[in-house]
Parts: sequence; C-alpha cells; structure tokens
Amino acid sequence: MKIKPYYILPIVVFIGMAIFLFVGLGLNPRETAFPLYEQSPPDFALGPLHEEQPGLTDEDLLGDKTVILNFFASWCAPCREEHPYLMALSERDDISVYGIDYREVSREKAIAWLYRDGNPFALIGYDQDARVVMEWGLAGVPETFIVHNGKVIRRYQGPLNVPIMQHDLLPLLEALEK
Amino acid sequence: MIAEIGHFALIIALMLAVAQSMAPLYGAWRRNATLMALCSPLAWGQFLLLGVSFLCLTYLYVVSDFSVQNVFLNSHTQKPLLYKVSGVWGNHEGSILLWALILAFFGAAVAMFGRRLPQTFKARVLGVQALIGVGFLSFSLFTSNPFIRLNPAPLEGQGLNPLLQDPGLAFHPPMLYLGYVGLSIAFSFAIAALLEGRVNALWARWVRPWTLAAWCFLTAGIALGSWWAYYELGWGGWWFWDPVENASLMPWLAATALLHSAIVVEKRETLKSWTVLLAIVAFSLSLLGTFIVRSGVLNSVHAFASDPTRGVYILGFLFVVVGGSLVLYAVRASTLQAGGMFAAVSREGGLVWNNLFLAAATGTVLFGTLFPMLADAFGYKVSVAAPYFNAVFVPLMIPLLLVMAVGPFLAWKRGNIAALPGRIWPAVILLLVGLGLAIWWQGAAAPLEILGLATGIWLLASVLVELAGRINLFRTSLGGSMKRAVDLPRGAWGMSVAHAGMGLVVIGMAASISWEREVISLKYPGDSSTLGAYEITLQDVALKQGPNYRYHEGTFIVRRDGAVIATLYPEIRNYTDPVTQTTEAAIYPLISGDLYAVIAESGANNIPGEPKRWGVRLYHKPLIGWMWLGAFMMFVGGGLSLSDRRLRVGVAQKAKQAEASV
Amino acid sequence: MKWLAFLMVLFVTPAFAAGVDEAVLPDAAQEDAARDIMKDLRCLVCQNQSIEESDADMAADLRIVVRERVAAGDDHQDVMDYMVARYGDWILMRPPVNERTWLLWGMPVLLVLLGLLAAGLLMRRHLTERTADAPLSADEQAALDTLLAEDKDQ
Repeated sequence: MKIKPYYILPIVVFIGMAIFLFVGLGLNPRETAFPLYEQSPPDFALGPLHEEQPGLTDEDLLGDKTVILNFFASWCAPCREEHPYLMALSERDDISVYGIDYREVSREKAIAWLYRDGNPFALIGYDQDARVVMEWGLAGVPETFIVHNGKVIRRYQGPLNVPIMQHDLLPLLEALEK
Repeated sequence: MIAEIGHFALIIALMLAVAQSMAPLYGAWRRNATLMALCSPLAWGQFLLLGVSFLCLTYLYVVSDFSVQNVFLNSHTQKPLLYKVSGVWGNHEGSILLWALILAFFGAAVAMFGRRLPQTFKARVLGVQALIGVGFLSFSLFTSNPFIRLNPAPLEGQGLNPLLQDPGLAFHPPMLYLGYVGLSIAFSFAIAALLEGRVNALWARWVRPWTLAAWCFLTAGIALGSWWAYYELGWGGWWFWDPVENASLMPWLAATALLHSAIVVEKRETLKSWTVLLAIVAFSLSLLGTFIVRSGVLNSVHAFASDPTRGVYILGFLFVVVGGSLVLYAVRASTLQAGGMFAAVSREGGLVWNNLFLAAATGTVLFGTLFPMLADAFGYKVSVAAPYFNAVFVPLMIPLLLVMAVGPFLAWKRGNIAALPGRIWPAVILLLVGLGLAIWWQGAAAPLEILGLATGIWLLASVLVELAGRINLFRTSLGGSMKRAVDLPRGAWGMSVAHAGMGLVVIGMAASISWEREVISLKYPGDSSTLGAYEITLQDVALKQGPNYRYHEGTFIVRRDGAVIATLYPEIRNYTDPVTQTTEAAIYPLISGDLYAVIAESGANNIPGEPKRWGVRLYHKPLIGWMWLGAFMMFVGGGLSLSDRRLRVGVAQKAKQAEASV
Repeated sequence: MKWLAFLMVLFVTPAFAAGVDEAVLPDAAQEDAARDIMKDLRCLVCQNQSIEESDADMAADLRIVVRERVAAGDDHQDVMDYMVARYGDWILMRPPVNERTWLLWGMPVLLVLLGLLAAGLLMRRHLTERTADAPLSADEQAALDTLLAEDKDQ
C-alpha cells in the first residue's frame, strides 16, 4: 500500500506534541521567571523590623559566607510551615541566614511571633511598600534565595520542604563548602 | 450500601466496556454476526449501569453522606439542594463519572438510532466507542474513584467552591461534556470508516447529525461559561483566553470545520481524507482539553486541583487513542479517493475557505495555549494571554466571516461571480445603513473596531438578503413568500438562523468593546458617578444573610435626565465553608446595552468611626446582550438543522420503502 | 499539594474582586496611560489576569509603582522595560516579538500559507485527475438516491 507523506504529517505533529506534554508534566507553570540568576543582588537598603536592631542592605549579602535570604511575613501560613528548616539552617556556622519581612499588619505581631517561635535571622530588613520585594522579582511570600560569592545562585518559590532540603539545598551547601 | 452499589455498577460497566471493545470489533473482522450483534445490548448495559452509578453518587450528595470521601471534600449540609446535585460534577472524580456516563449515553444512542447502519460498520463504531469508555472507566476506578469511603465519617463536609454555587455554572459542565463527548461519535465513525476503508456521501450523512448535536451542546456550554464569567467574575469580561476556555474553543472550531467539510463530502464526494482527519482531531482536542484541565501543565483560573499521576494516565490514554488513530489514518487515508470536482468560486470553494481559516485558527489557539509550556521546556518563561490571542485570532476570523456572508449566494460546483453583485447589493445597502446608524448613535471608534462591527453587520445583512431571495420576498405576494418560507427545508432555516446568530455575536462583541464606558473609583454611600447619559448613585450598602453566606448588598440608583430608570443590587458574598469571597455583579439590560455594577470592599484608608468607602466599578456595555442572543440562535439553528428529516437516514430509508410499496 | 497551600495564602485578598485604588493620578491623561500599562502587565499571583483587574496585594503594589513611574514621566516602554528587568518577559500579557517567539507570532501566517498551498494542490488535482471511489453497493446507492431525490424536491 502506498502511503503518501502528507498523511503522515498529523501523526508526526502529534508525537512531537505528546513529547512536549510529557516534558511539561515535570515543569511547574506557576514558577515565575528568574532574571536575577547568576547576577549580583540588586541594590537596596531596608530599615529594621525591630527599631533597636540594624536593617539590611545589599552590602550585607556580599560577605565571605554564603547567604540564605528568606522573604517572609507573619501572616503567611506557609512561612510558619518552613520556619523549622530556617531555624535549623541558622545554627550552621558556614552560612548566614537573613530575612526580609514583606508588609505586616502590625510589626509588633511579627516581632512577637519571632520571639515566641524563634528568630532564625541574623539580620532582618522590613519592606513595607514592596519595593525591594519587587527588585527581587518576587511573586509572593515565602521565597528563599541563596547568594554565594556576590551572585544569586538559587531561588525557591513557596515554602522550603523535605524534598527541597534533602535533594537540593543541603547538597548545594555541602558542595559550596568545598 | 448505596456507595457500594454505585461502586459495583462502575466496575461491572468497565467489564462490559471491555467486552464491547473486543467482541464487536473482532466479529466485524471475522464477519461473525453473533459477536457483532452483541454491541447493542452491551452499549445499553453499560449506559444503564453507569446511570445507576451516577444516581448513587447523586443520592450520596443529596443526603450528605460524608462517609464518602468525595462528598466530604466537595459538599456541605448547608448547601441549597440544586448545588448539592451540581456538586456531583463540580469536582474531578464526579465529573469523570459524568463524562463516562455521557459517553455511554451516546453509545446507547447509536445502538438505538443506528439500526439502519450496516452491521459491520455499527459494530466497529460501538467497539471504538467502548475503547474510549474503557479508558475513562479505568481512569475513574484506578485514579479518581468517587466512591471511596472514609472511616470514621466526618460530621460536616468541606463545601463546594462557592464560585461554583451559581445556576450558570451548575449547567455549564454537563452542556460542555455533552459537546466534548458527542464528538466521540464523529471520531468513532471516522475510525470505523478507516477500518472499513470507505468514506462516501452516505458516511457524511451519518456523521453530520451527531456532529451537529455535539456542536449545539458545545456552543451552549461555551456560551453559558462565558455568560457566567461575565456576571460572576466581576470585571465585566466574558472571554479571557484562559487555557481552559481555549480547551473548549478548539474542539468547537474543529467541529465547526467538520460540519462544513462533511457537506462537501456529501455533495461532491471529495475532501474525504480531510474530513476524516477533522473528525479525529475534533475529539482529540476534547481529550487534550481534559488533559490540560486535570494535569496542571498550564496555568489556569479554573483548573481542577491537579495531580501528576492523573496527568500521566491521561497523557498515556491520549497517546494510545490519538496516536493509534493517526497511525491508522496515515496507513488508510490514501485509499480514500477524491471524487467530484468544483470550481474555486463555488459553494464548495467557500466551504474550503471556511475550513482553511477555521483550521488555521484552531492550530493557532492550540500553539498559543501550549507555547508557555514549550518555551518553559527550553528554559524561557513567557506568558501568552488575551492580547496575543486577540491580535492573531481576529485577523483570522475576518476573512472567514466575509466569505461566510457571500458563500450561501454561490451555486454548488461552479459559482457565477459576475452575477454576485446583482444578488448581494441590498446587503451592501443594509451594511452602510447599519454602520451609519451605529456610528450616529454611539460616535466614532478605532478603525479596527469599526471593521469588526462592519463584518458582523455585513454577515447579518447578507443572511437576511439571502433568505429574502430564497422566499422571493418583494418579488411575489406576501402570502407567496410566506408559503415559500414555510416550505423551506429546516436545514436551510438552520443555516440562516445559525449564521445570523454568528453575525449578532460579532456585532455584540465589537459594539461592546468599541463603545464601553467605565467608571472605576472609591465611593462613600451617597456619592454619584456619571456614565455616559446615566447618573448612578451608590445609595447604601447593607449587610444581609443568605442561605449559606453573608453578603453586603449595594444599592445603586440609576437616573437618566433626572428620572430614576433602574436600581442595581450588586453583592459581595462571604462564604464560610470554605472561607471565600465572591462578587455578584448587578446587571440591568437596557435596549442600548447592559448597565453593569460591581462593588468591592476596599481596605484602603478606612478611618474607624467614619463612613466606609467602597470600591465601585460601573460599566455601560452597548449591545452586549446581542452576544448571548446570537449564541442562543446558533444553538437553535443547529437544532433546526438537526430536525431536518433529510438528516435522518432511517427516515429516508423508510420513505424509500414506502415508495417501493406504492 | 504544598504549593496549593502556598497559593491559597496568596489569595488572602479576594482574587476576583475588581482592583480599585485609593491613589489615582490627578492628571486624567496620565491615569489613562497608567491604566493602559496595567492592562499589559500580568498579575503575579493570580493566573491569566492583568494587574489592572486584580485585587491581590502584589498587584496593588505593582500598580503603585506603575503610577509613580508614569507620574515621573516614564512612557509605556520605559515602564515595561523596568518590569521586564525584574520579572522577565513572563510579566508581559503580550509576548514580545523576538528570536524566541517568532514561531509563536508566525504560526497563524504559516498555517494560512500551508492551508492555501493545500487548497491550491487540491484544486489542481481536481483539474488533472478524475478518479472515483470504489463504487457504492446497490443498497448504499439506493439509499443515497433517495436522499438526493429528497434534496431535489425542495
């Protein structure tokens, strides 16, 4: 039987599409673009959450140690969910954990929460009008960035969890240490 | 007990589907009449069992049996009865069961109405239909079982997403599924024809009514969904080019193309391989839509909670069904020889033009919908949203609509282009008068918007002129014209009504976009806004109690020249189970168009003790009601064609027998 | 399912209510320009919605920045550039035309050309060959004749 080439076209197009659909299953469409990847952190200078403490600027991210920068808010439930992981990370000596608090209804509430559940952040900047949040291209809270040697090398959108910690974050920190 | 009966019926239905997918196909191959004859009782059995299963689930919802996980997750005792029932298909598991039920319903319908189909052909159609059924039933049982029990049973359910607690959305999914699944019949007919190796005019006659029925339901489903978005989502839009909306639009475009190309097969015995391909593609796009909605590969406002295992299952199923049928197509399509000829300028030529642009539009929407995923696979994040689709879709529709107006004036086989102006000039006059009136009434608009409006008026005018020509209006007595009108076949009326409906839809779209007026502001009770000729005052906002929600009801008084002409009551509803806020727009239809009001709570700078300010959006949308009217006419037009006795092959054969016996 | 919880928190403000702001620009022309820009920027936390239509917090923040930039004299393109630098092309409701999107923008043209080519071939083949399908069986022919006879009646 003679098969004409243009009758094969539909199946070829379909197979191509099916391959991409399969690849697509493994992608997360909710993840936004990440233009900061491999770039220097944007310039910023934030006041503190608690008046008696220092704030946070981009200079703080450029030290020798690897920095974990976490964007959070006390009203955000997933932030509480990932809180134990940040506490654990804060106990390590090879890294610094900093936080940026994105808009509170009342700052006292946020301070009280950190006092009660523990404060993993060595420095906290307070971003009331979301300007710095925007500089970092955030889609919401929580998001966590890793800054190493003056470059932003990782971003996690949404709360940290066991798979992220075990398969990505901890191995990465280990690799960076070497 | 009831849940177990439903569960058991579902399992038996799967077994029957397996039997139905094997025996008749094998029988047709071996020319074994006994095996082939099994297809009808099996199809009926499957339908009845799924009916039982579906009724069981509905019963569980009505009595709020929270020992069933699906009911617990998606229902609540406080819900009004209508929404307990619609809750059955307002979730993933239940909607798959509804899908399977409708599939079995169409199978049973073929078993019943297809008595005149050749035995092998009918066996193959029902066999293919059952293969699809096996896919969906095993999907339901193995990944999305609605009858799973919870122990201990919770006392109260978690409730249905309140956005779905709405009459428009209660009936939108069943309509849409009737459309999606109805296309499975066209698909099964196409596969059976490829297996038989024969596509002819008779095949086209068989396929058309099923496609037409599916098309009507799809049209109604899409229109209901769009209408719901218009009054519920609260910013006056009615089409957002969301992946889920595109998932329903693509099968509709393909089915529309199929309806028209089947006419060419019927009349001229040509375009066969193309028509068979369209039948396969139309249903494949329905399946793809299911994949998009339920796998979470694309961003969408109204996707079901997604689950990768389900995604993998549906993709595998898609691969088998679509891949398998396209391989069969590649092997067999070349045996379908083209028959008759026609000139480029002819009715058939017009239908080819229709198919060209509908296919290009389908492909464009498909590619645009999948593009973000494709780009993401290459590491590029990009959004493809309404502005893109508007920019590419409208230019594809305009040439289609222009020819759609002229096509019915052309003769079959060889049209006479020189005679065209002599027949169509009244439509040109109607167009100029209509366009002039519109601009005199509402003022100028952007050239592209005027082009869109002109296209709609042109289409409507040409339908009227063509119809007038057919019934010899003004050329014979009024009574004579009336008699001709009555004698006109239903199919001809169906076409005119549906085409005119399309014209109304286009006019409604263009006018409501061109001349929309809006006011967006924060208002204290007592404040007024001016919207064109209307003065609208927010009189008061009161807190009230609904059946399972509390709501703020705004009262807007609309005045024109000082006289009160309407009062609008938009709502903000706060549901507790689950905690959700929804807006209910208030719409007052005027002859000139809709007045549309929404209120929103504004957290902005409300000083305690002082009167609260409310976010207010007010719109005047000229002629937007024509869109819904037009969609309804398309539905009615499809129904009229469907009732045309020429489409009922069985009737024709009876007529033949009657003739023979005379 | 964790990301779902993440999204639900992002939806703390009613995602479907219309975005109405306190601080609109005093200059009506500038406010219109700002609104046009907002319509072209995608809301980050909602799906398929522009920031102009959304009531999410992040959308409100973006609207403030858009208004600020417009008031400072930035035009449409400047604001878009500012946003793209931070959020990538992802934030644009209308994808840009570049070397990565030419296929997207070219697809409709490509499909129409393909269609015209196919239609052209079809017409040419019809002019050159006249082949008929396997003849209808006697039953089918009879059925078809009846149907066609009915057509002629009307």
